[in-house]
Amino acid sequence: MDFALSDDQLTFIDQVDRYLRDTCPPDRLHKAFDGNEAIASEIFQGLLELGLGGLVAPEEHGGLGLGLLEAASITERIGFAGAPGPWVSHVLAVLAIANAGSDAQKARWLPGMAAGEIVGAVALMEGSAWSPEDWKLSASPRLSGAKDYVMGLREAQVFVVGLAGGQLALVESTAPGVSMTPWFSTDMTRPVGQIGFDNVACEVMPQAYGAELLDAALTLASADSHGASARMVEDIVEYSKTRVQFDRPIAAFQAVKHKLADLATAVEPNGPLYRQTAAIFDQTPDDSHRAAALAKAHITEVASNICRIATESYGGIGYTWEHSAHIWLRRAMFNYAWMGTPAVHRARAADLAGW
Amino acid sequence: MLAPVASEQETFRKEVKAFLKENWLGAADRDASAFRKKAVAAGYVYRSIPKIYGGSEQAADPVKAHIIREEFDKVRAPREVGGNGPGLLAPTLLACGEDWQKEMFIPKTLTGEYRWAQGYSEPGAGSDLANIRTSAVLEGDEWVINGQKVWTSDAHNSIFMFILVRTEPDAPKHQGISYLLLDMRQPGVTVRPLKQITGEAHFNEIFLDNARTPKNWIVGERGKGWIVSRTTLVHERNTVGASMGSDHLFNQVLKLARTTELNGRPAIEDPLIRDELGRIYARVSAHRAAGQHAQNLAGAGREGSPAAGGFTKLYGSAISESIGLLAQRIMADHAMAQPVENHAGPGRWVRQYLNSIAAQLGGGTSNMQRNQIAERALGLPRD
Ligand SMILES: Cc1cc2nc3c(=O)[nH]c(=O)nc-3n(C[C@H](O)[C@H](O)[C@H](O)COP(=O)(O)OP(=O)(O)OC[C@H]3O[C@@H](n4cnc5c(N)ncnc54)[C@H](O)[C@@H]3O)c2cc1C
Repeated sequence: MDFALSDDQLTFIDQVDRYLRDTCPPDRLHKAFDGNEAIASEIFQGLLELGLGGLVAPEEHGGLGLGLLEAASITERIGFAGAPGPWVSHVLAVLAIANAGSDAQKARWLPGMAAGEIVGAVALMEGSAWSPEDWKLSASPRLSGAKDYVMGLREAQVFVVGLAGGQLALVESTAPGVSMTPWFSTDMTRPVGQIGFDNVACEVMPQAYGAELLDAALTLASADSHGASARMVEDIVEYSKTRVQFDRPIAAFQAVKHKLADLATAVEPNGPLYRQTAAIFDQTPDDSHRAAALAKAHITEVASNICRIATESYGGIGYTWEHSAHIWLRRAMFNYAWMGTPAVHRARAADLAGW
Repeated sequence: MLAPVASEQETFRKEVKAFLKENWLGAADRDASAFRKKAVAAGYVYRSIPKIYGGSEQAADPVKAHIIREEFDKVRAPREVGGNGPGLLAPTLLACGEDWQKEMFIPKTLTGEYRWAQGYSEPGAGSDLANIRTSAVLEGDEWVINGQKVWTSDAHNSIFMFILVRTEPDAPKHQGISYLLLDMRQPGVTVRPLKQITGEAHFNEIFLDNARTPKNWIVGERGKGWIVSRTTLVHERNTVGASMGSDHLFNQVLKLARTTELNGRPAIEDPLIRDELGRIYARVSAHRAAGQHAQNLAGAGREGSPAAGGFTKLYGSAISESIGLLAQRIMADHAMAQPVENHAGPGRWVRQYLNSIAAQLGGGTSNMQRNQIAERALGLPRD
């Protein structure tokens, strides 16, 4: 499986990185985190306007026509930056419409999404039911019920809603009968909530793309978590060089130094792992369910653990609201729980492997 | 989507397969050396070694190298000869040796005729390797060597040793060391096997009592042996931590889980065992992906992490330990005693678990890898 990034891809990622560095310094992140929606929107909108809105949309619909490998590589950088906004939800919505939508549906939505004028979101989980096999909502003839833990509630104009049998429907946020209930979210840079449907008119897309969409969601969650954990390690490494106790930087204590080496060792292979998983999705989709389940199980669990250990390693300052550690710790905690916990996906991966 | 680069690779893979089909007669083929000669001629083994020294001198191509490894392993065809010689000494000679040394030693090392022991560690110099005391003094045209080496793997099967000795007793620790080659078939060299934790004796104590070696059997300059030895260590770490080992071991433990009964059903049906299998398999996959990533970087001429060897050794040896632990959970009471000494049954797993300790010691302990990662990759203060 070839998952090496080309020079062009790396240059592109570099541009995104530069944008993120400029727009996501800790003080702004904290404001977004504390509920400043204007800052969060500005950062997110700026990302879409870099051309990322249509990253995975076909070129004939104004997109860049790229695959999950590129989307995941960008997601890693977004996780690394701790950037606010429903990026993952938007990419998944574009991917779903591009692959499951009719020509008319693609023409209706994708150009605007690619141009950054329309934000999309996916509404998949029903309670804790993340698997398409457990989705119960039905759209015949109209949609009633609710979807939970939806990211992008506030921003999205169009929702891709998971239905029984892995079908997907398109619902406009302004459609009569749609209601939104924001929740108090663990990861405040990416708040979630419930979207309710009361006899809502919707359009079902022709392809049942739920199972593939799940794989993509798991892969992006892995990439985001990897970015978050890599950032945590980078930051705590820098801090340990400057924080002096007993007349030396704490990094000079082997108990600290070795812990950091262990964290770095745990992070190191996760980048190649999620990229390989994304490349499998793009190139050999038959193996995708198992690979995505395994990556989600491993990376979101390891990353969450790394962020926890790194936070503790700061001492008291890491335990404060003002400190940035919890931005990434909460991000990793969210990814851990979103769309099925690691243990559940590990069990699934074992089944899929025929063990 | 990625550019479709597969076709060239697939053509190459077909070539390798065709070669194997024609030339490898399977495990029944006792004469690995004849096969290996053909594999060298075809450019499949010893790719980084010049033809004049018995290699196949191919342009560095990690993707091709990977394909060769995969295809050879699939049919269990022999690749490079194992041991310290081809893996450690040959690359060191190529990097630091004189031409006549390369001519004299490399070809026969590649065929397995010359086996080599690595004489680094001493009773007082393990992690702190530069603390070695074994001395070499020039007398006429010969070095006269006195001292003791320990934990020397495979010395009982080897006829030569590459050895670190102190030649400049007054120089600072790292600058007083030289790298010598030594013929072990002489009265001044005594090899005493050491029984290992597994019950086998793969390593030894070496006593050097006026052992002699020619003046020009020195690799690199006098007093520069420390730097020469680093070349070898880099190769060693990369070998010890390679992910192929993890893959193979995982398949074995998977088989164990399928064929062993635990609480009245196949162990593989136990949710806790499945969870741990999944946990380990994810790490094996990550390890493999990281290996491929490193190859991709090398192939594209990009720099990898300065501590890549440390990462992969630490990661790989931890996987090996987890697999050993899981095997014990699966075997349950069979891990306590076996009716007969059986290297194919439970006894094999007891040995594997104990063996995983060696992986965390040899070639630099896990703590030394942590130091290396912390200092080289993360830029933390030196110990
Ligand atoms: C199976 C096997 C095969 C071997 N084969 C060979 C061979 O062929 N040739 C050869 O020359 N050697 C060989 N060795 C030796 C091996 O390289 C040494 O065992 C290793 O370098 C450790 O040295 P030591 O045993 O003296 O332990 P020590 O260096 O005494 O270490 C003891 C403990 O202290 C820790 N420690 C030491 N220094 C530090 C530090 N600075 N910071 C933190 N922790 C530290 C170590 O991690 C370890 O846990 C082999 C070893 C094994 C187990």
